[in-house]
Amino acid sequence: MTSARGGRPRRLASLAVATLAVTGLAACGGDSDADSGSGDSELTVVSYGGGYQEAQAQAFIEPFDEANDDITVVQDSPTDVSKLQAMVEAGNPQWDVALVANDFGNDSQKEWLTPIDYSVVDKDAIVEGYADTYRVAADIEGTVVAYREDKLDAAPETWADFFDTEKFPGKRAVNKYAAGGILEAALLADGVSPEELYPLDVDRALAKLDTIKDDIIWWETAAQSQQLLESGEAALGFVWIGRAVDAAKTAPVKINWNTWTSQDAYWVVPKGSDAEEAAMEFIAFATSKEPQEELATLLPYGVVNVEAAESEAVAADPNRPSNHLDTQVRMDDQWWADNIDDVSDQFNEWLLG
Amino acid sequence: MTSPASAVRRAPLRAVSGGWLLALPALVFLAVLFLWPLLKMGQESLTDGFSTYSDVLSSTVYRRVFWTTAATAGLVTSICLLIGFPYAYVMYRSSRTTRTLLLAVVLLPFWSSLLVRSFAWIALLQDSGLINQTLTGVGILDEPLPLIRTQLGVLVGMVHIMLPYMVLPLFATMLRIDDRLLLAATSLGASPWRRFVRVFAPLSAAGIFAGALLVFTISLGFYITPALLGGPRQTMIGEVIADEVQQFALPTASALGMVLLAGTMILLGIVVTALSRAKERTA
Repeated sequence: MTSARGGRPRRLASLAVATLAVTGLAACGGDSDADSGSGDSELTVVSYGGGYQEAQAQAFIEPFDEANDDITVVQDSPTDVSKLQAMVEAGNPQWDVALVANDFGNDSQKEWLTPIDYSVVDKDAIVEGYADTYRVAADIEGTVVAYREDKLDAAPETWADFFDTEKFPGKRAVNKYAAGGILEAALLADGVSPEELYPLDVDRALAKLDTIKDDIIWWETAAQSQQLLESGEAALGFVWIGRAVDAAKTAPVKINWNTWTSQDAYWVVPKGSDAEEAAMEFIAFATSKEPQEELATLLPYGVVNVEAAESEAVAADPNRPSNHLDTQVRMDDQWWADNIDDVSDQFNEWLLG
Repeated sequence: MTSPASAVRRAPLRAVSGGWLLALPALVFLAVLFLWPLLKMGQESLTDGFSTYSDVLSSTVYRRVFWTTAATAGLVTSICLLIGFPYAYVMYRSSRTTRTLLLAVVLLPFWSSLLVRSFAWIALLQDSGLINQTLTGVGILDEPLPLIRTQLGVLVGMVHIMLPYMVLPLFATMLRIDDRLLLAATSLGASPWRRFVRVFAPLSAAGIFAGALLVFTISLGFYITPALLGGPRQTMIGEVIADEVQQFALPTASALGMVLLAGTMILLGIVVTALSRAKERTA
């Protein structure tokens, strides 16, 4: 299903069209200067694929394509940051707009990125803190503590509760990824205030994690985290919001909105894109009110547009991340971008021990 | 002991010039799809010079994982031998019908996908799985047994997959044992145990060796089973290599692969030398 929608067949088709157009022009001996002014441009958008990209396609990728006669949008999937870097280094990125996770799009990665043009993208329309120099959030997600109501005597309310195996016995499903938020969770449970988290005291975090090490089930794919909660194999989980919401559809799963960390998706423009202008217009459109409202009807994620966040349908949803920004623990993506290698090594070593 | 039949079989190949051409397809296949990629992998591992190797070899994480990998493969081989040998022996001693049945039993899981079987073990072994639910349900246990995400889980899953690789070479070797040698041992007054230790076991040595070699080397490369049935402490090198590839750290992944290959060859070299020495001594 994904391949039908995401990219390849459409890309081939548009490639064929482009080739025909170019040969046609050459044959006519006409003006073949494709760069002149607002001439037709092809915009390649790469996202994560699957149901997520299908929702994005419906909410804004296809509407943007339809609304702009001079821009042909081509979809690709999935994003691969190392591929993106290789494309930019080769000087010819095929992708003009890419959806990336928190670990990319930070200032230290500017050699691969074009700064967002805030004369095109309206910064004031975007929820505060989600429009940076090289990236604009596509939506607001999160990693939340979710738990099985039926397996616990009481509802966990604090970070400390997640680490309290006596009051809340049962396995905990946690992402096997150093930058997945669990180190922050451990420090918060250990009494560190959110403002003083960074730079992370990794030794202290791992020492705190040692106290529940035998009660952790490490998940590596989002599907696994959902399955662990649904089957009751885990009584608690530190999982992505979309999976917590999905698990709650079939099992007595509740979300604690006092304990969650940021986890988002961002649009970036690779350096050297030949459709930079169209890319900025696309980002502006994707983060505007109506497309964001449409996206919210398709996905459980929070919206990045201020007006969309205030709309009734979004504001009334108890499990919408954008309604809980006051309790969100914001991860320092820049710190992670600079430290991920060392911390990952330490984390992996700790895992094996 | 060379039978006339084999002499007849061998002669024409030598006589017909270029008979070795028959091996050409396999040789070309190996050269193009194994040797060449292996060379490329060696080249890739040296992208940043030997520093990748010194990083890989000095890292405590990788060293631990290599050790876990070898230990797990060794344990799987031992368990397969321990339960596979008696099984093959029973097959060898059984009537034709029983033998076919026993063969089918050991081959049956062989025909279903490794991935499906590993997932099936999850359903059986997990805390909320069939075994633990039954045990806690009837009140034998209060807490579920730690069957999954442990060394035990990995061993159960891997032995289940590897057992045919042990049983089949053992059985094939046993079939070739001349019954008259066993009869001779009995007639010379050997007890059944002595007959087994002095005659039957040495004659099955080739099968033990072939089976152990197969099980051990294939086990070294296991990836999905330890990932699904083990915990972080059971991480094997295959998983780490896959991780590195996914992170696009191709030189590191290649170096790990080369180290694994070299380690396996050295280990096998030691075993083969030790075995041939032992053979010389008994001869």
